[in-house]
Amino acid sequence: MAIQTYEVGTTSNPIKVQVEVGIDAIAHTTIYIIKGSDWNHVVDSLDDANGDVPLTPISTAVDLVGKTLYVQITLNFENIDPPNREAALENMVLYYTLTGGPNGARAFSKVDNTSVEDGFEMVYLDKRIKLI
Amino acid sequence: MRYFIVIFLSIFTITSAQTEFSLEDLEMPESPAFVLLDEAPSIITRPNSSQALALHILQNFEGSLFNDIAVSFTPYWFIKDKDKNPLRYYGITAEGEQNPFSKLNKVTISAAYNKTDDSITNVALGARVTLFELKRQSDVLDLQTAHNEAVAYTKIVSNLRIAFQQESGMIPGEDGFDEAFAAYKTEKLQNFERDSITILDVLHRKPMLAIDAAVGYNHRFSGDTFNNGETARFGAWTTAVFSSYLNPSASKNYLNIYAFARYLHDETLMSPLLNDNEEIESFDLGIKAEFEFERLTFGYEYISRSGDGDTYRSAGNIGYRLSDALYLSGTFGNNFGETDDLITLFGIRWGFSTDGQQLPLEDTLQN
Repeated sequence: MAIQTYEVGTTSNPIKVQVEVGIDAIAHTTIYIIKGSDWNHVVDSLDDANGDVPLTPISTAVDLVGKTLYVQITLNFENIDPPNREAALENMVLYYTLTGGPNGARAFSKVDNTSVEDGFEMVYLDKRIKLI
Repeated sequence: MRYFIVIFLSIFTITSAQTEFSLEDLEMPESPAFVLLDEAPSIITRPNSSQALALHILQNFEGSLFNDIAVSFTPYWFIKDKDKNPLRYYGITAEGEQNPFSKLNKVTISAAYNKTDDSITNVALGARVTLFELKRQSDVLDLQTAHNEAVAYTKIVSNLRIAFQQESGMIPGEDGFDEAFAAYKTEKLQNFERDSITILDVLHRKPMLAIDAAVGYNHRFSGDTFNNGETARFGAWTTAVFSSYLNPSASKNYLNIYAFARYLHDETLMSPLLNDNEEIESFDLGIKAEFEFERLTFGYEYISRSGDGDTYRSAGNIGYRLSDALYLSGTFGNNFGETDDLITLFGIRWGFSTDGQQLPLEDTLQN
């Protein structure tokens, strides 16, 4: 799947990110801005284990243009009976929302990569969004 | 034939046991549709967990194979809801307060097929839900502890995966990433230890008090003819269970006391006072005492039926889990009615797994 893009423009407008996760598994979300080998941590999800990241300023548009937003969601299914884990994953709710660009807010719901560990204990969801 | 089936199931079980799955701590679910038909090994029971999808089979040795089949599913697992989160799933808050009604949204729906020796085909639909569940405060504290530890562990693994990407330059999704990260994670966490109590350990403990409600509808067809279809039974019932630890240090050992009440509209029962196939309204009241140990369960249930025909069911149940994959159960006693009312049941449960997904398959052999 080709990497998706979000137009931030070149103004000094603040660009914000929000992640909404709806699943019974324990979820941890971490967000980085990447350019080349430089990784800058933006924010982690709250400590209530639901993976949600409230609307959070990243930086200004002019600072972000040309960089990549990376969101990693780690799902721990050890709290769900094994027969129910796949159904729980398939029916999770997931939205990544970016705001502040010239075209307003945009919500993304598809992930670039899903990695499932043996035994379905840990699942990793990766999303990259190119900021243009 | 009897021995053939047992041998077949035993071979299947042993084969299945070699795949990776676990039925530990999952009881044999009693489909409401089977309970309505009085086909379940125990009428007074409640499962402690709801499965997304499960298959139940009752096998009558006197008839042909697969005469009694039920499938059940829990729509909760197939519904998308932005507000789902672990604490809401457990039914507790971050401060440790309980929501005793947290399982109201986990209705289990079942459908059953049953064919009798006299060419009557029964089709039944049922639904069951936990109305109220109260955990012990000590279990809530254990759940909070296990949950907090799992949250911390999840964050550690998340940070490890970021560090691995930064160090290796690999990108998730590229060939070899998952295997390389698995090795990296194993190396980094080789000395990492966690408490022995897991979230599922705590969630599988019996609540101190639980109240379930269920309904079922049965339509029957005689002579394998669709046009002969008619309403057979409708029932609504509730089960309350109080569970007490036999030994607090061994939390898988319980004394369970059940109370059971059921309304039954029945057009199939023979009554000395009524002609065959006349409508019968009855009310069942029952109690059950059950000792539950880690592998062994035994109990006794008594149900008194009043209304248009007084009768009773008095039966003892015993169950033993031979392994995570094999569960044996037996029932002996008197079923409702005055003729053909002897119950001798022998049951086997086994499970299978495919593609890492674990789906239990329930099977009971009835004799």
